[in-house]
Amino acid sequence: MLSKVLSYGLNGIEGYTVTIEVDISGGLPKFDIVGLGDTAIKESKERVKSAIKNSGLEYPMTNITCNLAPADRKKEGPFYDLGIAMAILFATNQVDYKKIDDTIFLGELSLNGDVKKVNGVLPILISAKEQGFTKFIIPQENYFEASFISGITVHTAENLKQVVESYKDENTKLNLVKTSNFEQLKSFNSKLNIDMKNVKGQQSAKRALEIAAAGGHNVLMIGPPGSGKTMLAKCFPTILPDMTFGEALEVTKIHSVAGELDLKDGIILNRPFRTPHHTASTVSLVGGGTNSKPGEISLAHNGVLFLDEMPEYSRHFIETLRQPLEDGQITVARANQTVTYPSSFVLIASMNPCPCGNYGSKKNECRCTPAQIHKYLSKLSGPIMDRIDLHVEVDNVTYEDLNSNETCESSTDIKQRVNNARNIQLERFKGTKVYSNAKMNVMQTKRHCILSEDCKKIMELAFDNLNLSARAHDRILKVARTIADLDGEKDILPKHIAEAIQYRSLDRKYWV
Amino acid sequence: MISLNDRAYIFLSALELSYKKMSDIISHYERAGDFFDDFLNNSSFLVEEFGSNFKKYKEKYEKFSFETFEKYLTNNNVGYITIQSDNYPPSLLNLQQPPLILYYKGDLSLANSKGIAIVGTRNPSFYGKDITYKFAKGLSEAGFTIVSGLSTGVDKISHETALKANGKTIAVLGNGLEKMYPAINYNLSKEIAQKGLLITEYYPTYTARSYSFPARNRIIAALSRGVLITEAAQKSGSLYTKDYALELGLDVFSVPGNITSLNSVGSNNIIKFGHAQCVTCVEDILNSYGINKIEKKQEKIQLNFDEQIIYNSLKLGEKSFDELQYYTNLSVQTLNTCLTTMQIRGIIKKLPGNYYSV
Repeated sequence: MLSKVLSYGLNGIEGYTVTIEVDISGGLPKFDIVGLGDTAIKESKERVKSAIKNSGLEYPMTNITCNLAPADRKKEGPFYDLGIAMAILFATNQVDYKKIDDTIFLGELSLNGDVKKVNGVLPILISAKEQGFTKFIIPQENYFEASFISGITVHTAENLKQVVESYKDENTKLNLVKTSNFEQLKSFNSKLNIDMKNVKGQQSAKRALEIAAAGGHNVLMIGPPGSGKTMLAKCFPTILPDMTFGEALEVTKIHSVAGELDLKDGIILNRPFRTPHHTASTVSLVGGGTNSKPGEISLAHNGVLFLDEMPEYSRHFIETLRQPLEDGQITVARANQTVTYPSSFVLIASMNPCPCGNYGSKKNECRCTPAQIHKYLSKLSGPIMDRIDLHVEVDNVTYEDLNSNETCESSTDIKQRVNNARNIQLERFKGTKVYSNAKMNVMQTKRHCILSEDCKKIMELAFDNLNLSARAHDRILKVARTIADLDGEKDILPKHIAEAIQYRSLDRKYWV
Repeated sequence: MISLNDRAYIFLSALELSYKKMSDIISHYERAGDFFDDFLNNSSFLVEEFGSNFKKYKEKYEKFSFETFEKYLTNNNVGYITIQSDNYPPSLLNLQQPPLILYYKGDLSLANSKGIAIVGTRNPSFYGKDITYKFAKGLSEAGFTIVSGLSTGVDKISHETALKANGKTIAVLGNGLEKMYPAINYNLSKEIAQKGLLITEYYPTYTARSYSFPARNRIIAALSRGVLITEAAQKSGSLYTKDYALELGLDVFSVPGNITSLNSVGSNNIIKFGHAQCVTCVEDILNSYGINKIEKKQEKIQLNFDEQIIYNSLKLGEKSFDELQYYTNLSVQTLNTCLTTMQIRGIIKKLPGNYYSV
């Protein structure tokens, strides 16, 4: 007999319907799964067989053929165990086939019949909802992930037997997922145990990070080892504006696909902060592999990508950052599939001023030759420097700084100012696809960064006297716009331009 | 058409002989051109001088074309002078080993102008860079021709500053004109060829050797009236220049540096041992040549209240951003703004590592 059950597959973070067809015919006992499944799917027949048996049901000792349609798409992962098991049970009439409706089954089976969690439930629910599906049965462990989508009926199951019972007996119902409130969850969960007030000294770097947070600018911190670059970067997410529900869903989708989601929360509340090590392969950073999985730069979507000691990363990787930094997304093309992942992040990079790290330091003498320093700095190509708006030099912290009782501003205070500046920007870019000053295109820069005569004069003088390179011009405009927003000023004033110029130290030629 | 005498000089320099060997051969003949007769007749003198290389040099001579060489000279605006030429700079004759032939690009008359050599470490500290810049600018503006060796570091800064100040500059090379070393200075060398003088005693295809740099230092000294060492480590090549200058009876000036800085050991030592006159400003050098500094009208610096606080604080010594903030108590934003405007106006300088000084 033939049965059909619905399930879902994922291509990147977009889903597509998969129909599981099972045909049972006479012959020697045999179980075949066709439809371009990967190894996890090929092996699922063993799990399904044991799970059915161990749930006190009957596994048909005949010829079983299972097809996963559409047959031309590669399918991967153990999503389909539950669906295949149910299709067999429908086909053998152990569950009334008439009761089957458009329910989507997701879940991996263990040998004793338990339904185990799968990755990517959230993106599946979102795209299935868009396609008009409303009923789902998912693993119990994925409960919270499902609780943020309203307008659909999601049931969770702990084991195969429960699912079968719910079809047999009107009175036994599966656990229904209740919608949780994002705002409420956020208010008592978004406590990070780091704070800007714990960073002593480094006033200019803190200010630069505040501007970066307000305008979504990328930052490069340059300083000797042990000057606190990493600590500053770690505090950066605490001054970023809170994620909206939409942003949180986007982030959660990617993390769900990558299997990095904390299933207790079900949604990611804090902006991601990713610090890939420089030995990581380009594929793990950018995304890809046989399954086109999201890489670190996509996992940093809506958050922060921190590259410590940036020149140590492979040149190849640094250059691949160009597209995501420009477009906010990365297209990973592989033989099987081409996937586009969102990857709109703030890049925080840190580096030493020279190979030995002491160039410009007052404590230790730098013994690098000019050629070495030149080579080190030239690892960051012009196009990449073009995409980093703020350069800030971080100097060594003195012992007095560390011991001072002077209280520094807390992250909450800074965040308040950042939020105000962001609101001005949201108003400014209403109806466009741009959300922050950093992402302004040339036309928008022209429209929103109008300079008065005084400002133009400062710019001109700065270019003449400070050896600024031409690429600094637009960067300075955008940063000045953000500084003006932080000040609540409608126009860019000379003091804003003057401050913005401070953050272009790598463009100045005294460096080499 | 190149004269027979000159051909001898050119051919011998193309063989890349040591200075001694070349001068021995040249002085053996009354007229240098006689060399070729002897050479073609395999004279015993030359066989002895050239030794095992004789056959090799013979082959080289057969391949050597003076027409091609002449074409090279005209196409690349290269000139040459031999020690016998009329326009050979007389100051070079004071040397124990005056260069026998010189190849040059640019304005040869600069070799007879009022030159001062600025030399020092290839790897200067920020302090070294800063004072090299200051002295090169001051001396250039006072009408001196800046002579240096077109190496990295102090040499490079001296040449660049002189060009920027529309002054004159001479670069003496330790390599042939077509084998620029270090390659990073290639563009600078082209600019000097246009606006100054690029000069070397080596044949155009000669690649730099470790000993060719100390050797070119004697020409640097001889083309100058004095030698200024801005920053030199204990074993700096610039100290050779000092030795040549002392031999020639020229003035040697040295700028003192921090006694704890390894980069300044050499320049401090020559002051300590009395080899050099200690100078701390351009006027010190100008005074010893009896030149009065052209009075520049001192621009009165107008500062607002915040800027005055910063200025007063920096007058006591360079400070980092954090220290400045601590002493001045200004907000980060105001401080940033003031620092930029003051930098633009040239009142203060930004040093690497977020330090500032007046």
